[in-house]
Amino acid sequence: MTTKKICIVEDEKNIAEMYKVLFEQEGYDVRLAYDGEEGLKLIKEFKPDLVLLDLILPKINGFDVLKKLRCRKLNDKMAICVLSNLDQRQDMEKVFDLGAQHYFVKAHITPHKLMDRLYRITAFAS
Amino acid sequence: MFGDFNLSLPQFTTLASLVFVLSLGWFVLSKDYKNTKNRLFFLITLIFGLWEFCTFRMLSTKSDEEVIFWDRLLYYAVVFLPVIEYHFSLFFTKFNQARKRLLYSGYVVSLMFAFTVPTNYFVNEVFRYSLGVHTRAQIIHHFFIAFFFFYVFTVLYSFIKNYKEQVSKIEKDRSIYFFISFAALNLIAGIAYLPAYGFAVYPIALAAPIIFTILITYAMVSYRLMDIKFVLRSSTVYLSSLILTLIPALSLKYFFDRVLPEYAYWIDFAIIVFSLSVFPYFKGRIYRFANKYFFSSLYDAKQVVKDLSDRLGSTLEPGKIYEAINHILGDALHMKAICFITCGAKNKDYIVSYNDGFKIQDKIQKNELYDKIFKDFIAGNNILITDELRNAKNIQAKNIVKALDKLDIKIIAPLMVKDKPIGAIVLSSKEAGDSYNNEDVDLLKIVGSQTAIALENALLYEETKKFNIKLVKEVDKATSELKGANEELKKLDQAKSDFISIASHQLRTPLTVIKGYGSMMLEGSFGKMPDIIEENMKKIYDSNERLINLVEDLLNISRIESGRLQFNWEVGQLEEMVGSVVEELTPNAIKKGLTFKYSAPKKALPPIKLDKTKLRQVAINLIDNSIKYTDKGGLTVTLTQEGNKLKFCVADTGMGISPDGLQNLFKKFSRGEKTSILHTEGTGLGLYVGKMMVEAHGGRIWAESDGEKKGSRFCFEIPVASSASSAKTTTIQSIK
Repeated sequence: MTTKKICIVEDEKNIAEMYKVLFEQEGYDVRLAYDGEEGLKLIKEFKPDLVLLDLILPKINGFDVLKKLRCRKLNDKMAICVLSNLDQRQDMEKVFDLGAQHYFVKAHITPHKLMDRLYRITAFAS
Repeated sequence: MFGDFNLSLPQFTTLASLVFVLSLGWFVLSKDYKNTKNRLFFLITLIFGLWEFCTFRMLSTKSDEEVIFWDRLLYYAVVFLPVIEYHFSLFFTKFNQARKRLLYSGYVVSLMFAFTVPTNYFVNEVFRYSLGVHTRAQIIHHFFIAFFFFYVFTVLYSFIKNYKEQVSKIEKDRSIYFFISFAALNLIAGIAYLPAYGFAVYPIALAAPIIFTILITYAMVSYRLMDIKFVLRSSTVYLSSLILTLIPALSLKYFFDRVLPEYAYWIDFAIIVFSLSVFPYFKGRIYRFANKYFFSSLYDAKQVVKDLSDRLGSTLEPGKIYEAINHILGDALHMKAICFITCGAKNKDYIVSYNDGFKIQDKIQKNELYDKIFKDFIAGNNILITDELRNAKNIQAKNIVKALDKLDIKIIAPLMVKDKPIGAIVLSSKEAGDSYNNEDVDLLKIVGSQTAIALENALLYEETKKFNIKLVKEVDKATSELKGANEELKKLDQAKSDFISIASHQLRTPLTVIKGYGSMMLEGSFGKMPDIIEENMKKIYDSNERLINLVEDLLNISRIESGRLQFNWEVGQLEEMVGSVVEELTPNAIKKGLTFKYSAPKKALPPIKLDKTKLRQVAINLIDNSIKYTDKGGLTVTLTQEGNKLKFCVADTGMGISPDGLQNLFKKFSRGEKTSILHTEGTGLGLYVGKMMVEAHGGRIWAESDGEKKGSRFCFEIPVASSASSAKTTTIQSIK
């Protein structure tokens, strides 16, 4: 069984590090990107199984990252989970339209619970 | 018949008379052939025509028998002449019983005379003399003469009476012209009876119809006799001038061609120069003549006033009003120039608002003289007539006349509106040079008042128009201001919305970090902590949770108040949601040493339309509050169906609520009075938000309490989804 790869695109380093710590403890290969541009590059090279994507990002925002990912069709099996503190309905609808599979409000979910959910709703397991 | 065209003067006169009188008769008839008056007039001319024709035949024959034949023929018609003339005259006098009798008896007598005409008792034998021929009058003819003159004088008397009775000048003039014309016609024609009695008079009687025709035609031209109007156009004046120029020119050419044929070219040239130089002079003279004899006092004041009313009634522009008055007064009075003066504001100049022909400036400086005119005449509503003032003795009047004469001003008629002078109509002398008569002055009085009213109306209209324009401007300005304000509001609204967005994001970021690390530490991600640290860490975590909720509440209120709160509607089971909330919160109650009972419904409840997240928040809030404010005992959550509503209740044995407190519970920033001291962590927003949420679901939220320390019940009810709305299932995924 190969190690599952996770790419976290998050400009708030504290948060990014936090998830990284947790997911690495669980045995994933985690890479971080701190802005949209970096994130796109990382996704292209790293080809992760799961992307945790923030929406408010420097350089290229999360919505545009989603658009570009969809155009490139990098990996059909790649799961995209938006992890943002925006909680407006239109943001969520837009995100789903752009091809993300999941949406979580960061302030409402602890890292452990997030991981539980991801286990439950995807075939994603290490 | 006219073998050699060598007509004697009497013969020529008969034919000329015939043509003249029949032309006139035919013209009158053609103007209005349905009118009896016109028909009678035509009949009169026809009788005279027949008379002239028969006389012509009498003058052209040598046979006595023929003379008698033609004379008797003409008498058939002439016997009816006096009564027909009388009949005609009745149209200009009042028709009463006596006159009616006279008319009918006249016709009867005429008929009787007609029967006697072929007999030898009327006329017989022939009387020839050097200038003419006539039959000799017999016994009945004497009676006829008496009959004839009786009726003729009655006719003339009628016209005189009419003259006296008529008030209008033009009607009086018309009567006079009828009188003169008929007197001339009958008395001159009456001379024709003299040869019947053997007097060999010169037959001037034959010219009577010509004189009659000329008089009547003139009266028609000048006084519109019988309402017939000859239009004398300037083209007529031109034509007359041309003829007047051509006659001497051609005569001169004829003369010089005979006398000095060798200089024909030079003479032709001289004649052309001569003609060109005299033409304007003739034209001027004829125009003046025509004005004097054909146009003076031609107008009917009533008609002028009526025309003016019609014209003024259809316009509201001062310019057009001036035009109309100029036109109408010009037609009636034929003045050379007209202008309108408007009084400006106090101590301002007089303004010439319209000028046609006067040599004056647009503004008239005020001076003593004009002020005097204004005070004495315009303000006093008196018409100033220069010619009347001329005889005055005082110097001031003389000065006025002098000044006005310089400008050829003859009349100044005031324009008054409700006793307030607004200006004046100023007229120059007339084209024909005659002075203004009383009729003109009366007309000007009426025209003046009408003009003043029309101008006032125009002024008001102008003001209204200006006001409208101003109003439109004001409205436009106000609209643009409102637009601006609206833009501002939109910007403000956007700013608020942006703020909510940013605040939610920015505030949540650090809270996320605290929550994340806190939860991980408590869950042992970084190894086991000493108990004391874990306990305090828990406090940090709980406080942070409250902070997250607080942010949530604040954001929700902002959204509710700006109408931006969005709902993710779906149809679901309320018991599922309540079950999970109870499950989640039971540990909190137990930790505090409270009992927590949940009486779930026995059977499945009908589905409701709900936003699970929001309603869940309400349920959590209510249960959380109960736990928070209960120190002993416990709480009971119930979920029941009541009619078509589902009712959620949480009852506790806590501090309870005073009746006063119950009223304010669901208001913004409100907390129970006592709670503020005991429990400082409440924001007072939870119940307010809850109320908003429940109401958005079409439900109701309330609290019950038997009083302080007697526990309280917090409930909300949500209507059961109708079949129609249950179909509208939103597809948004739950985010938790």
